[in-house]
Amino acid sequence: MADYRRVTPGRSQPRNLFSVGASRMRAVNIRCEKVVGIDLGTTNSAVAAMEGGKPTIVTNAEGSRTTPSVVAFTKAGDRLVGQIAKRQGVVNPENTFFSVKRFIGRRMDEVKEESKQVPYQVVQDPNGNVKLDCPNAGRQFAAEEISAQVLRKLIDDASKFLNDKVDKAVITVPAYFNDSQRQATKDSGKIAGVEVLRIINEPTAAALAYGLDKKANETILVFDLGGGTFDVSILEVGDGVFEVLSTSGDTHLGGDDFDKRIVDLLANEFQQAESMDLRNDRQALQRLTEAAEKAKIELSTLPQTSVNLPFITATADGPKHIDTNITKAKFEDICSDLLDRCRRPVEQALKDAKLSLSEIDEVILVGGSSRIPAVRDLVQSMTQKEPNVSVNPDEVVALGAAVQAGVLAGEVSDIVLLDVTPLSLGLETLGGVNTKLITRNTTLPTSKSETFSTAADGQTSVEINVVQGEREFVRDCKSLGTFRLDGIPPAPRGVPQVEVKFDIDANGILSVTATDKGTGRQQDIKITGASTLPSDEVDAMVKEAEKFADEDKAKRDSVDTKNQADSMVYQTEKQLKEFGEKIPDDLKGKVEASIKVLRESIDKDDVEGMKANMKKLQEEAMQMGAAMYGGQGGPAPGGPEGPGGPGPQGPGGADGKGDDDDTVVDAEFKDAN
Amino acid sequence: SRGSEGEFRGWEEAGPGGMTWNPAMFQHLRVLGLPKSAQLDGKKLRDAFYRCALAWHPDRHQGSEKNSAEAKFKAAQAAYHALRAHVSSR
Repeated sequence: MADYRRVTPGRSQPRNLFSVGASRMRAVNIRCEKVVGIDLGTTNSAVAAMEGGKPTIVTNAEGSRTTPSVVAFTKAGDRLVGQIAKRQGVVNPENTFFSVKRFIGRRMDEVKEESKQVPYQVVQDPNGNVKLDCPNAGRQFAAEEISAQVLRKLIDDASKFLNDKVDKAVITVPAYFNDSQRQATKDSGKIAGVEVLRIINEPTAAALAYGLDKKANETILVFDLGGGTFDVSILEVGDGVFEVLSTSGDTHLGGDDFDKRIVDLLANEFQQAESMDLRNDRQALQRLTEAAEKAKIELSTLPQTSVNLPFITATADGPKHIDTNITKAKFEDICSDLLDRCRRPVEQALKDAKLSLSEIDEVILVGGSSRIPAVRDLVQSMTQKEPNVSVNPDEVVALGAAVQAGVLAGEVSDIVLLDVTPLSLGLETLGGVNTKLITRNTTLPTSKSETFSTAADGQTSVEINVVQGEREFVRDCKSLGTFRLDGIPPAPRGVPQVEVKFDIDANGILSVTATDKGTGRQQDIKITGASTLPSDEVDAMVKEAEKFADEDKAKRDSVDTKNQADSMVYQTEKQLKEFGEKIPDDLKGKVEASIKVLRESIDKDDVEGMKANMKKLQEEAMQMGAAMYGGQGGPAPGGPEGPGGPGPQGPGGADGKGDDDDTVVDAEFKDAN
Repeated sequence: SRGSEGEFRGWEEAGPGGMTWNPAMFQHLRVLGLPKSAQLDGKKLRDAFYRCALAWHPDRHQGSEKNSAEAKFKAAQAAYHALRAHVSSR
């Protein structure tokens, strides 16, 4: 309960006057570093970077433009990320983590429903935060750590693609993410070893990419239905300025929910026929979920689809199968309430922007789920406009993030994004009331101050509870932090004047300062985000991730060395066979012996041994080459033993380009991998 | 009642568009680089604010300039919001 009350609705007035026509309109552009934009999605993620003044999607190591946001731990103790992790999900459901974004920065009591929908175990830690249990790793992970694994892969793939070190990124989040979800996303970046320059909203990023080469003024509505969240933003775009007018959304609505409806439909049908609930069988549930996603995607283009799941389970009567059809009409019927839930945020965003539908020039669809025909129809009927489909809904967010990354790195000079705070910020006043100082949809950076007073006679201190949310009472909002200002001289209530100043910078970081106007005493708090993880825990995770990275590097080194050794054995044997008669017998014997020793170290997985034996064999092979050319000298062509020797770094090394000599020899090693 | 609008009553003079404005409003105009005599409408106001945004948004400044730019941007933003409310309410 707050122990003071509001006195005057004070108004902060700008003291400094500046005229814009002044000189120094532009900062000198001297910096140039690779900063990437990352769309860290619920189901899929994407990376983009500015290349030649245009945002470009980075293809991953597997050659895809998006990477599934899936991390798995195998029995053998390997960590898999992306497509390879997704593929083995069915056989390893308890150790395959997907849709982790639904849990990031959340407390257990906020995600009761979601936690029941995933085949892995979601547990509560002593602080009430969400942890994911991983039997194969023998420990529990925070959602931040799982996301960090995905981020690490994205960054590694990007640095390979760009042939440049990447250690800074702009990451997108749903516009309706609250402070702790944003901070948790930042923590993921920290754990992954990247500096997160900015967290920006997904629909805003989409608008940036869409409006990049638009010159005319336009008012656009972004309808972003992703895998797990739904956002609506309205922006005004013109002359390089992207002004977010309003944003609204639902953090519990996305493509996963549509999948869930199909899962329930199939499971209920099966339960009626066989009186058995497949949802209790984690492996069956995972197969159902995958089949549901596939069916949903097919229903975007077909009027009907079939679902075939042989051997989904077995009863005393023998194996059971699912073989059924789903029509588009049925799908739309079971999802009608989800579709209805898309309406309210659109209306709210329009209301907040003080616009009517007729004032919207373009409607842009973003997110994979916006491909559902019923969703498109809904948007069209609501807005009376043909939605713009010129952007790729899976890529546009990452592209926009890359544009903002370019702005922050000084690469893009004619654009500025005016983002807003998605939720109101205020403090607790007498009676547990949330007194808002900065209302939602206020352009950042911003500052606002108000004067408050004491609620009781002789009160010498006030406690300031900073809250985020729209509701009238603090108990329904999220508390971001509290601090106390004391040393107020005793006086009748209402007399002391305490000025409270809220200040949000462009990064969305809120600082709150309280000043007793009578004494000048000041107390402040910097709310770097209501992280659900204590900072020492994050630091421990960073260390652990570094250890993981070292292990990965060692593992990769060993795989690369083994491949090199294998290929060297093969090549040398081939040469022995082909040119055997040209090689003196004593040299032949030496080479054969060296091959044998190298083979043995390969079989024993002895990396150091392999390296030493490779070196020895290489020297002998050189002599062999000299002999083959009748003493002309020079190494054997096509052999793995090139000048300078093979380096241990594989193509996965993030060491940058300096190490990777692009010689023919090196290229051969890449093939061998 | 310190700091409230009441303080400015009696100081009123005819402002742009024949509206009655107080000195705070003229300060806002100056912040946005608009002449006192401007015939104000929503579009003009927005264009002025966008010019300020491009000039002073902290994302477009590095190093030591960042803080002063941010202060200027905040002032421009406050001015824009105050004037916009005024323009649309008449």
